[in-house]
Amino acid sequence: MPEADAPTRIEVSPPPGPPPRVGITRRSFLGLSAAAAAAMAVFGRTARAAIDRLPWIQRTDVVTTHSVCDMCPWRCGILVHSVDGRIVKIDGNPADPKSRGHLCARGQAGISFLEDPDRLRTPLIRTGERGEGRFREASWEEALDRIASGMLDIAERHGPEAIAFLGHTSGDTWFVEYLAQAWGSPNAAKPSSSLCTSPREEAALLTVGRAIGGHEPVDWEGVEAIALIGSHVGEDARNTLMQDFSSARARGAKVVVVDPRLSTAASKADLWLPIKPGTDTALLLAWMNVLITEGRYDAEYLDRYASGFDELAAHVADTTPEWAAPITDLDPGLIRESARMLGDRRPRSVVVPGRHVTWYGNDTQRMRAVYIVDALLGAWGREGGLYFNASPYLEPYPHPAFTVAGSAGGCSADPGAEESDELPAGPTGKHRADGVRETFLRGPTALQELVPPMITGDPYPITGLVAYGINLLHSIPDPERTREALRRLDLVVAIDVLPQDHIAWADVVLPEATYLERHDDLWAVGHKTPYIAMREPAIPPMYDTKPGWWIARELGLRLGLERWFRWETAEEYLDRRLISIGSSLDRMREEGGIAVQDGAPYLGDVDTPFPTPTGTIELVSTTLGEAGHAPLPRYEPIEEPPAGHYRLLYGRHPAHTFAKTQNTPVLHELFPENAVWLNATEAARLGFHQRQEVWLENQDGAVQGPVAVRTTERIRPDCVFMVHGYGHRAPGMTRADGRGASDTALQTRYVLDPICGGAGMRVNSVRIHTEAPA
Amino acid sequence: MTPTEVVVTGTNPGTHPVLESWEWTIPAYLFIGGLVAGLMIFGGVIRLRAEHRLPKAIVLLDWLGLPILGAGLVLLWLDLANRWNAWRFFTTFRWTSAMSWGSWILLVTGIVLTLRLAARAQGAAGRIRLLGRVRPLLRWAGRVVDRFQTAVDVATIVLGIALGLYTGVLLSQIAARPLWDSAFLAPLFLVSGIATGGAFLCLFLDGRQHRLLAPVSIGACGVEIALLTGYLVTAGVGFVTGDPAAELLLTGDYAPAFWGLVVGAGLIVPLLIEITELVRRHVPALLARTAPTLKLVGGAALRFVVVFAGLETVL
Amino acid sequence: MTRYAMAVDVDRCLGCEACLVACSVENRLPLGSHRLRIRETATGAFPDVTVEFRVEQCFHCAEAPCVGVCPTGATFKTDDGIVLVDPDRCTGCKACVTACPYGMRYVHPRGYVDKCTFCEHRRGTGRDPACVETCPAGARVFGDLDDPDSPVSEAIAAADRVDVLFPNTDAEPSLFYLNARLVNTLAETAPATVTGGEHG
Ligand SMILES: Nc1nc2c(c(=O)[nH]1)N[C@H]1C(S)=C(S)[C@@H](COP(=O)(O)OP(=O)(O)OC[C@H]3O[C@@H](n4cnc5c(=O)[nH]c(N)nc54)[C@H](O)[C@@H]3O)O[C@H]1N2
Ligand SMILES: Nc1nc2c(c(=O)[nH]1)N[C@H]1C(S)=C(S)[C@@H](COP(=O)(O)OP(=O)(O)OC[C@H]3O[C@@H](n4cnc5c(=O)[nH]c(N)nc54)[C@H](O)[C@@H]3O)O[C@H]1N2
Ligand code: SF4
Ligand code: SF4
Ligand code: SF4
Ligand code: SF4
Ligand code: SF4
Ligand SMILES: [Mo]
Repeated sequence: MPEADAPTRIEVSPPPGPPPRVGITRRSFLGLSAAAAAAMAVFGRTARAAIDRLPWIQRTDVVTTHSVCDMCPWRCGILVHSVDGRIVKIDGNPADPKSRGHLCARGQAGISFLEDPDRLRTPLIRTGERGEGRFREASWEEALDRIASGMLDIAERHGPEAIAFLGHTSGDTWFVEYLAQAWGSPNAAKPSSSLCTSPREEAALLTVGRAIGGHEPVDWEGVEAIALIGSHVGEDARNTLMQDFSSARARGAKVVVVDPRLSTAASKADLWLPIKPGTDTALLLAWMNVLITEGRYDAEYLDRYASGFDELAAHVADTTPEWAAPITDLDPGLIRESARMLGDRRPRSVVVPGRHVTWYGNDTQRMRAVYIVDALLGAWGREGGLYFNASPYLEPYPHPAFTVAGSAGGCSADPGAEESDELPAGPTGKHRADGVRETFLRGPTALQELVPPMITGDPYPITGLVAYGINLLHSIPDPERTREALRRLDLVVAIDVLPQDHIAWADVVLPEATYLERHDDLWAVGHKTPYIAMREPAIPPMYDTKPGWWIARELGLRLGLERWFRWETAEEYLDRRLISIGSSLDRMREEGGIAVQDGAPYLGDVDTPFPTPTGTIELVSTTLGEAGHAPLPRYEPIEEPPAGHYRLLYGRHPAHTFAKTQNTPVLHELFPENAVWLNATEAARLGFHQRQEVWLENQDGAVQGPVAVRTTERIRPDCVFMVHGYGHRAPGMTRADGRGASDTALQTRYVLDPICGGAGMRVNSVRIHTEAPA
Repeated sequence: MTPTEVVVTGTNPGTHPVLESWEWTIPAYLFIGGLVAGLMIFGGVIRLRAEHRLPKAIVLLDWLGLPILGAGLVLLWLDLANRWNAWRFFTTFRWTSAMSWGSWILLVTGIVLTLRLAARAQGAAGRIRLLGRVRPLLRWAGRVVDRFQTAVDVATIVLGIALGLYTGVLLSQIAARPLWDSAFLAPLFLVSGIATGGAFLCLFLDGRQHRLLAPVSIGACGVEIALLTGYLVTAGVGFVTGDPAAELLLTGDYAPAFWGLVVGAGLIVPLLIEITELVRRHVPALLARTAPTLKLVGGAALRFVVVFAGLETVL
Repeated sequence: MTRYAMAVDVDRCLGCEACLVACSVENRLPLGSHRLRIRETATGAFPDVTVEFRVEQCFHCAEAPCVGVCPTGATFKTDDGIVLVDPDRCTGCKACVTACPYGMRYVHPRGYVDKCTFCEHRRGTGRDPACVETCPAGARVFGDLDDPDSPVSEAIAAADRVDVLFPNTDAEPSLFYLNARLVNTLAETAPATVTGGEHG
């Protein structure tokens, strides 16, 4: 794999300009007057310098815009304060149910992300080979025309399905939903589904007939005991979660954390279960065993709402803590004690549905086990348990029916949206190319499964790719395979804000305005108190960048999709949607950018609490049984790493988001590179000293390094841990480039979840070398 | 021992975890300040006592006092992060601040040394044509110094002592650095200043004059050894890490410099040479020059070692 | 009298660094400069390990050693107990930097010494300091120590354990650590890594 490690560079040659002229031309005259104007501006500036020293908060000319954070996909409501067209501070919006007036480190760093000098500034058209990173600047007109003709060409030859739309970050709706569905490709996917939440969503639909949705419905205010399986709150720095976790603990709630690593959350736990990675289902079965055999479950609740209890009881009759102990490498006493800690506080007791749950490929079953424990605790639909989230009332913009129905899912998915059994098909009748129904049962489009058709043409060719706000080479496992696909495609479009690694592979690069400079579609957030949130620009776009809605619309117009783009501005579009629910853009502004509605959170508030096929909590899943999958979760051992290898685990750093913020100046300096966590005893055995430089080689020979080793007592001896998102090979990202190591590059394998299509990524392992392996 | 791992996020270079607030200019200045203090004390005392066998001491003080002090001040000024705000030192007097005391002491010292230089230059003015223009001023200075000779000498001595002491108080005032937290530091720096001032003089004296100074010199060495011992015993005591602080000098990273340069080269070897000189009445000229040179090296090393090691010590 | 003070509930603090970034933005600190830092300490052997996050910033000491050493009066104490630096009067002589027992002062690239001000510029606005306001864990409280009903006094009164750092310095810090397990119980250990000083 020669190119794999060859750093890609973005070199931009200026577009050929007019030949230089001599004498006093209009140009040089204008230049002179510009210089004079600049000199005046300097005077103006010195006069203003004194005012500048006044802290923003004491100024009377501060303009505040209500908006939504996009430093991570969680979407906290924010107040953006600006003075003279410059943003001075971002605060949490106190009226917003997610931020409640607070922000995490990344949210606070929005200005630095905005003002990162490495941002993409103008459309680019590739002049070198794919991956080489040589581009020329282009006008929007030229860039958009180029993309449109490429897309139309592909559609003509292979049909619209041959273009995949992959996207994330909060403008993704324009490209992965609106444009893709109008255009007619069912091959639209988000990493937040099959690389993140799909298992928990499908498991929830299968078990309780409800999706978890974007906002995990834990009723934190009343909870008395919680268990976190993975879910590293504090490092997973979702603002709301940190608030809820801290308040619950301060109120005296008990905390059980199951994690091979002493995460921040584990360090705050009453009980830490340092489990052997990949064995959580065994632990969950043991918990069920304890709860049932010791009678610490809500029999009355199960009687009324659940089906299959007897089969479950029989199923877990032998899965005692003593059975699970050798599997999980946990003390059976600890297993029992933790089960009791949860059971005794039922129903105000919850095993939290994790978020990133695509771990080992058997994840839907593990999540089913989580939800079954929650059912035994009687938590679903109970105060202090798991509330029912509802979607707010909102109408779409009135446009003709889309050419193809959406199935991208994602962490922004509407929790109320039921999945239809029909697979959405494109105008030529082809449905998704991700292998659904063949290699996996159901669920939103599995993003990573769209990569092989790009290489093999099977089941049909995908030859075009529109990548919006997705980090193709950092987010999808087996990046070498992704590069191979990028090499073969006929058209690669990247819409981004930074010259990330994959930008070098695009034919056309479109620089988007950041979240602080643009409108986006409304967010209808399924929640205990459902609400609608709105993003508005605090300042106009910097450089020659454009908002996503504008880009999508301009493309749509060029692609003959005028029918869906009758609106001319985002404001018109938003206003129309808001008017349809009796509000308006102005009213929304007056009301602080948030419209909160009433929910129906508890059992008594809803007619059909559990809309499964049987109308009950399906402890035994009828759907899975019919499809030939285990109707009750079983513990199935996963493949052990080869001798001398450590299982590769990964997670978050609180000041960084995925691979997107490493170049953000104020965040960069707090954590400029990741290190690989290794158990201190193992490190001593191998003779590594603290922060020694090492190289990691995975089971398939992929190498990352040099990277520092963090020898620590905070992790089990059989695994290593890395913060995801490092090891950029993107010279245009001057701070992040070459810093740290990439977990993704070491994930040459994943295991496909046969139920939901998720990609289990913790099936890779590494050896640690003191020198670069040959 | 329990394994402990610490990770610090959000630090500032030069402050934490290693304090690097003061660089080489500060110890160099402290050394120079001490040296000038020594010169002033010697010059003043010799003149007051009308010690006619050592006129060079006075001549050297008058001619070199101000330039050497000036060099030190330049170093001090270079250390300032906001050099154009240096005048702020003279807008106020903060009695709690050794540095404020120091600024004013330096100002007055500068005036006195200027007077002395001017008076001396007036005597030489006939020979130096360039000085023509400022001759009236010089004459005035000469008259003042002539008229208030004793007062000027007393002021020179008092300021010398103040200057020498203050270089130590500057550090010992800072309780946050256990290594500096000793009442012995100021007298130690003063005596070391006298010793280095004397050594500096010796570089310009012949063997006979040199021997005149030897008892003073040996005495100063003795006192310095005593004060150094006192300093080592008291430095940092009363604080958790007080003892490790002293250890940094005695056995730690700074031990070679401390034992080799400060104690060995700066005190013991010159002491032995000077005693030999006194007893044997004759030593090779080269060796005689060696003793003062070593003392200067030792004096400088003392400042460097104490400042740099001190910055490393925390409560 | 008013004596402003801050309390940080160490048991609540998640080391999330939100306060750190909020401070930099609010106070327009240049890259590489920080008014507060976070010290993560892990002690013990697997699996019995204790982890604690400790935020550190100027403690606004009642007997502030940095005030007395300042030759120009640039460093001063306000009537309500806040220690401030007047950039216009500061010469950058670093006597105060050297004198702070906690390493809480640094030289701002513009040539003056800077440190946490308890967001003094927010006093008239009725808003808490930026770090307090943003803290997602609700670990920080600010207020008047001399007012028994202020949030800070109440938090201190309710805490199981109250510490100040290095009580042996006699500096009497105005920042209190609540419910800590490790503060002052461990000898200070040299950090394995230090980040933040790297200029962007
Ligand atoms: N700062 C920050 N916060 C974020 C994000 C971010 O980018 N940055 N991204 C957000 C998004 S989209 C997501 S999906 C979430 C992801 O955050 P989570 O949903 O919390 O992700 P997990 O993979 O559950 O958590 C990683 C933890 O799982 C542990 N772990 C690894 N293997 C196993 C195992 O086999 N069993 C158990 N029990 N634990 C294991 C690891 O040691 C690590 O502590 O974070 C969100 N929050
Ligand atoms: N190895 C590994 N893979 C993972 C994970 C992991 O932990 N480890 N986590 C998984 C999870 S949980 C998730 S949710 C996904 C996340 O996957 P992604 O969302 O792909 O992750 P990011 O690295 O944040 O990539 C965001 C991309 O959008 C760009 N961008 C940022 N802001 C904007 C904007 O305003 N407009 C546009 N157009 N572009 C923007 C960024 O520069 C970057 O290229 O990754 C998954 N993949
Ligand atoms: S959790 Fe943090 S980064 Fe994510 S949306 Fe909220 S404030 Fe922004
Ligand atoms: S914001 Fe709060 S929880 Fe986060 S590090 Fe600061 S004090 Fe701790
Ligand atoms: S912490 Fe340091 S800077 Fe702050 S008041 Fe105390 S001594 Fe002064
Ligand atoms: S650096 Fe500034 S504030 Fe500090 S002591 Fe010197 S003059 Fe005072
Ligand atoms: S009080 Fe203000 S200046 Fe001090 S650390 Fe907090 S945000 Fe920074
Ligand atoms: Mo995710």
